[in-house]
Amino acid sequence: MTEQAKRRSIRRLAARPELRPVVRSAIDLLVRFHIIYKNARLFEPNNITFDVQTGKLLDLMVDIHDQESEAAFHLRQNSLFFNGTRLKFGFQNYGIFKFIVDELKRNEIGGIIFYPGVTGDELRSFIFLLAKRDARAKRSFVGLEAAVRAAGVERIDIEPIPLSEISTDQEKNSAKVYFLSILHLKDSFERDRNNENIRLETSRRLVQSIYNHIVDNESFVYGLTNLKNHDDYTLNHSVNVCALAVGLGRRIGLQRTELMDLGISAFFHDLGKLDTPKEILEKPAGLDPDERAVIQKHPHQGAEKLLHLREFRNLPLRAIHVALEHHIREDLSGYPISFRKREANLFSKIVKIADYFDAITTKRAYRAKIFTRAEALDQMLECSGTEFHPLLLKVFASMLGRYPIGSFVLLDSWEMGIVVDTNSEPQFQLRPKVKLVTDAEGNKIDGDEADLAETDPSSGRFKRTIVRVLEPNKYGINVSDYFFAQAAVRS
Amino acid sequence: MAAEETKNQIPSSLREQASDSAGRSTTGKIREILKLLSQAVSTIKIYPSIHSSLRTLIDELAGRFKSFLDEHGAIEIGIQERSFTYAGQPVFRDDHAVRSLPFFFFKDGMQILFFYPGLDRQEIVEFLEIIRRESFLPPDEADIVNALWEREFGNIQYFAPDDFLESRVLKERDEWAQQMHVVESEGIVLSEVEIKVDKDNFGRGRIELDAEDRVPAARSDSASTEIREVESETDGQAGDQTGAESPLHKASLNEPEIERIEFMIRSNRELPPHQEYIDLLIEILFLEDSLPMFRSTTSVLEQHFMDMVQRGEYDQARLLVERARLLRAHFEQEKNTSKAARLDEFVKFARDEKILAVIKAQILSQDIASPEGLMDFLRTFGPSVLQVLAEVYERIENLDFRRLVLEYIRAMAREDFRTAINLANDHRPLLTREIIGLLFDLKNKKSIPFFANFLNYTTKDIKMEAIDALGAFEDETANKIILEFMKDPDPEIRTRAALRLRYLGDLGRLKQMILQAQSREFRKKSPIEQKAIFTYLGKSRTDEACRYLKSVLMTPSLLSPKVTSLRLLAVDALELMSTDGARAALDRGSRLWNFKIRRACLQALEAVAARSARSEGQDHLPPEADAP
Repeated sequence: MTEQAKRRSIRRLAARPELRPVVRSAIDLLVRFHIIYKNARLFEPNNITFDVQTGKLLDLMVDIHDQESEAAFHLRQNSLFFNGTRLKFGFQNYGIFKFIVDELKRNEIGGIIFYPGVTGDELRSFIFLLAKRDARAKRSFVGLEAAVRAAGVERIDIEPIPLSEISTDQEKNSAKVYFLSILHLKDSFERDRNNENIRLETSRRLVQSIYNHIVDNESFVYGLTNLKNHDDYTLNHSVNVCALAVGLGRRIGLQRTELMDLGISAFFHDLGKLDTPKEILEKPAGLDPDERAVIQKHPHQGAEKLLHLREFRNLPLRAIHVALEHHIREDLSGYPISFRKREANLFSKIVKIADYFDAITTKRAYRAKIFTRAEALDQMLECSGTEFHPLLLKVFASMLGRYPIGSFVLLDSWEMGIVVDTNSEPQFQLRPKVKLVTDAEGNKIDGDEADLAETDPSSGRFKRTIVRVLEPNKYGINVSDYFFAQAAVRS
Repeated sequence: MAAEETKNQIPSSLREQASDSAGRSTTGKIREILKLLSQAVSTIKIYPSIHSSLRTLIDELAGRFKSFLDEHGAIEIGIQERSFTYAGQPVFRDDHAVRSLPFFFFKDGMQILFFYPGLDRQEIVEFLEIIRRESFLPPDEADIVNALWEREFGNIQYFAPDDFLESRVLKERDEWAQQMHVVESEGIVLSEVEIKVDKDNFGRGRIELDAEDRVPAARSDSASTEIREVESETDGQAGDQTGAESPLHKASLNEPEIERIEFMIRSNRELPPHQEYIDLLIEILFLEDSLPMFRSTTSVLEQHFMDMVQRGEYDQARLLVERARLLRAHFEQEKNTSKAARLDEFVKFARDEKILAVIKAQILSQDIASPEGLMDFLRTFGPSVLQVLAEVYERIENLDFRRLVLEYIRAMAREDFRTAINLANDHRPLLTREIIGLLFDLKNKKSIPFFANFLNYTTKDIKMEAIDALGAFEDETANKIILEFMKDPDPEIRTRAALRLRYLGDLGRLKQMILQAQSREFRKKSPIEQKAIFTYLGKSRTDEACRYLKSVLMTPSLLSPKVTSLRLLAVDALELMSTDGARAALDRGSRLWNFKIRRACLQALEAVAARSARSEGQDHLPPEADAP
């Protein structure tokens, strides 16, 4: 981020009228902290740029201490609190919050308290201690606390992360929630078919849990969406769409109540396919016009089912919108045709993107070509503005990364790997984290996770670079296994 | 160091006692807080949060929370089936099956509840409100964890692990499987979700890239260069990465784009949900092929319409009918008569008496949120709604709504005055008087015969209003009805009628009045009524009337005050008449023995002369006096 962009970001945040002045200062402080933290990874403490930035941070700190007795930041359930007030992030500062939350968690820090009188030296020492620690290592709080004290930092306190904040078996739980969602959907679809009530409160709990896991470990959840179960395609697909849609909704700054409605809408967006004969859904050859007409009825059928369901249960209205509109294109073509042409609902536009992406990256009997995740995004970006809402698609592409999580890639080292995490630094979008699955000779291995942003200290060049996205099915690679393996290992 | 030394000087047993005592005191405070919390929950289920006793309770609870949180920091409450724990110790228990607060949290899988410093009264109130709301929901719709998650409190957090969700989903699945005799497919174990991956496969085998995929790898150098160009302007050097803004980064959202997204979200929040729902219903009906499903969905339409009416959402109800009519027109054009007919049924339903009965009840209970909205909605019913409005008119307290109703009746009356007349009723004095007023305003003489309806009314005010209106018509038919009013048992009505009677050249009517004045009954009438009739005669300015009045004037009183009074009334009428004959009669009267009569005649002559002088200047007849 350029200095100008940073200033813009700070200015925009500061301009939000609803924030208390001190909360605005706290957000400014976090933005500045984020800048210095990243500088600290590159520079030495005596670097002039670093020094200037620290001075600015200190000025902000003094401002805050003029109004508050201390400046305490706490991490609670993946949210940042400043002196008891939750700091909300929007689309523009999402990256900063995510970065800071991730760093706090990695260092097992539950709170940082800056007391009045904190000096520039103390700030410098503290930030360097945090930033210069081995980025890959899982670090203990005790060691850090001792180091802080040893460095003579007295006016900054750190508190350990509460046990309740530490997600044990995170991947295992994410995977469980994923399967439970499929199971619950299966149950719901069967109940609907038999005119029984769907357990919507359970659906809500599952959406809540999916959201929580996205907050905890976004990349892993998106990795799970690589699972393509051909027997229960619609169920599997619906859960994938839910995870991707909730992730996109979160990125654009929807509130929790909205995310809940969005998640429920995504869960049930294909409910209408219950009425589509399996032989048409799975027909290997192309569909004739009559069969196509049958397929194209599913949005209406789904909407109708949800409409009747809504009469008895507290189903969000948007779920009906989404069921009806998720095949309406941005240029208002698509299907079904409307009585009164009007723009699709925001949630329908979000679900459409997630739905399309998951659909074209899934091998289906009738689909001649299966797209890799990167190809799928490219293809979708070509239809930006006509098929998809361009800005939502842009956010979606940025969420999944240039090489989307789950992409099977060939590196310039001749190793092959699976993208398991994006790099939060915008300039490193082409340098995700990759789980190595073969060595340079093509021998399959259960390799480590390689950060493609890592450089060779001797040459200053990147150690590995992606040169090609490969088709996993062609080489017998089941991408989802590599994600589920993480869950299984921890269990 | 000093503190350490002091600590060492205290015997360990005493130190333990002090520590125990501090622990007990902390636990005691928590116990008190939880007791208050439970009391507040029970109270808020009965009273609103503004109720004084609840406010006191909440104030105390907020105070206790603050004092504890300031002193000891965050509170972590363990949740057991029927009890709360603090620091591993039970601190609160409630075994009551329904009201138990610990169970209320426990049943939804909550294991820990956290309260953090900064918790304020407002958050406590909202927390209590959420508990109240959830506790009133049907069991299968309530979930306190969902509710707290959606509210996202700053200083109240909870811990509810996924294990609970797992057991809930599996239990539901198990119940369903048993009910439907479903045999689960392999891989689903109903006691636990298992994740099985054979990791050994990861290390087995080799991947041989095909020719297509090998090409770029062979050109890895150039590919790297290409990517470097995309990455940054740093020539692949890691050192300069922080300052550079890569083209990809530029491809991320810029400020106007962020604002557009924020605008989209705001607009989405502002969409009126009912309007959206109506549009959806119509779209779903439009797409429906199956007639039975079409019928079923129109039932939803009907139910939704009724719900909206019951909730007082009249604008939306009106919109729904409008949209249904549009769709009906579409089906009619498409020659889809079955669907058009079904929509006709809906429109009929929307105009049904049942709907009007609901609205009537709402008006009577003074439950009118939007007078304009309600009136706009009622207008869609057309004239059939007027009877309902007339029935409730007298009891409408909302003056805005009453005004709107009247405006509507006025508008309808302009089209056909009979519509308004039909609404008049002896038991609706307010409305009926308004109707008379608006008939008068309309000045439609065709409405005059309908005034005869008021003759049989018992409400005096209505009759008076009708007489006044009739008088203003200056019409023979109106006079005829006024004459009928002159037979009313109520002297005031008769008087008013006589006053409003106009001479319009009908000698027969005049003679009828003279005969009435000559009758024995006339003598029994009140002086005011007698004067009113004489005034009519005076205003007629006819010789017949003059002759009669003169005869009354000349009748000897014979010490009868009643006769004298009647003669004086005749003087007044002659003065009003002001014709030559009248003046001559007055002149004769001024020479009679009776002092009162003589004086009255003289005064009348003076008045006539003065009026005559004035009128000569103005070249017109003296104005008629309307009132005695």
